[in-house]
Amino acid sequence: MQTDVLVIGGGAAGLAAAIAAAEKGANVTLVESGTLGGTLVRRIDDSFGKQIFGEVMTGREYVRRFTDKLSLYPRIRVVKGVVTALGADKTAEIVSTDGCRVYKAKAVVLASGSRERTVGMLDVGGTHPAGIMTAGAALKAMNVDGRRIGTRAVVIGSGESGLTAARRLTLEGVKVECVTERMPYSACTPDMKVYCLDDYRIPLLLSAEVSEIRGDVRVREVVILRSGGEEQTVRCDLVVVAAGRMPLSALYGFIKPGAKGIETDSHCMTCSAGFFICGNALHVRSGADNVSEEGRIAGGYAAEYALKRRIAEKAYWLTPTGNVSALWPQRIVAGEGATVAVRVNRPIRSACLAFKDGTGKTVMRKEKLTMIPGDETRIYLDAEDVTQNLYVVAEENL
Amino acid sequence: MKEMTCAACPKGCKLRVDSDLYEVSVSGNECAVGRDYAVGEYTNPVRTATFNVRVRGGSAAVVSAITARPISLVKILPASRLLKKLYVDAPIKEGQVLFSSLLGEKIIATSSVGKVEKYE
Repeated sequence: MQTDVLVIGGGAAGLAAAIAAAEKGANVTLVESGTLGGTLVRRIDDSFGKQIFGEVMTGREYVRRFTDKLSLYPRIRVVKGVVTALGADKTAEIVSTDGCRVYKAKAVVLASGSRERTVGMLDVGGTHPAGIMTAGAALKAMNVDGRRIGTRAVVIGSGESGLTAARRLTLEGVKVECVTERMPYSACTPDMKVYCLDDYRIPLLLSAEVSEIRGDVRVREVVILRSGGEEQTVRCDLVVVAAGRMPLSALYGFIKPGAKGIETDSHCMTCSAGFFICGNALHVRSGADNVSEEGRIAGGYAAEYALKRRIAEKAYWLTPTGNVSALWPQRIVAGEGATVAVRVNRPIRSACLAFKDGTGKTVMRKEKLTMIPGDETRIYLDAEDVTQNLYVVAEENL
Repeated sequence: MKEMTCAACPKGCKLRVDSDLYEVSVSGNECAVGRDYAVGEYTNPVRTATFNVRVRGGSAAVVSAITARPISLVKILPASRLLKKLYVDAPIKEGQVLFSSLLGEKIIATSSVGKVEKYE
């Protein structure tokens, strides 16, 4: 079957990409294996939509806004199925309830999201009995299936998903004994810590690692290793793993990644022409709004590529240096402004982000930023600011 | 005296709040927003809370719900415990009022649940 734009994944990024591509007049095929909205349908807390819709809403309401809009476009065909293979010639093999079909697309938007790290990927010893689940699985069990999953829990990881899971567990009647964090600082924004942990008096153990999970059939206790080498045993029957997520990249092995994963230009196009990537499939973020915003960019330019073969002729590179661990997009299309997301490798309370040229001269500075490793800092660059390759460095204001 | 982390912006200033009979004093804040936040948190912290409410005869086991306005923080856990004992009947439409006065607060559904007819 033929289509202009093939969008793989119907989450926050894919929905926005499909709508944006259809708005430009392209015929769109959206493939989603589960329910439209992806992991957002598990999120019943109200922390979405501030940037995109200007009001705060729950994850489900956020998805509803997008699916309502999606149904207005007859150009979008939603396929409930799984992409089992994707070729560099933009053909995709899709297995759905009505069989296996091969789709030929003119442009592909990869919005397949991320997968959670499981306990097997952590360095945790012990017997690994029943009662260990990821934060996403715990949220799904409680919010979608309405199950009670334990009585006393330990949460590994203080990122956004760990804190959300800790709060939901508490409200569902599960006592959260503690949240452990490997690093000496919390991976989330201070407001999340207040709203999810401090409000419910859940202790956050920094520089602490779960080293062992014990139990015969069900989890009985965990051993937490603190920074000084002391060990602490906590009785619990549930371990929730929220140790971060990784982009799902099994499909697009033929796209050559850079040092820090796949690199894109500010149109979200990868180095393979016609393949666009957006959302958590590109890099993992906490909020859905930025993901949808990126999806909108990717969908729009994918439609332009599919219909008019328009690609960016020239782009300038942005290179992270010093405390800046990564940034997206890595290439800024010449003559256009772009929003750049910057991540740092340690918290800087009063930071200044400097953009320098090859000789070390500062071209542009952004002052008074608070940067934390758990969340990206977004900065809008004007077209006039970027006229050459730039190096990005985060400096501390004293 | 109470110590807290400011949640008004990503900076997360460490605030100290104290009060006498006449006024609430705040220190540690770097801006005016932080002062207002601290006074609010000191006098009556409020949050918009979200819950799962069990559904009888529906296509889903639970429906997600939200308080109609930010409610006092001390009410959230009692409300969640109370909700564990309560049911609502399907069908439920998004925006429907599930409980008009649960501890004095209105609870509204944030998703829709269809009805399942049982043939026995």
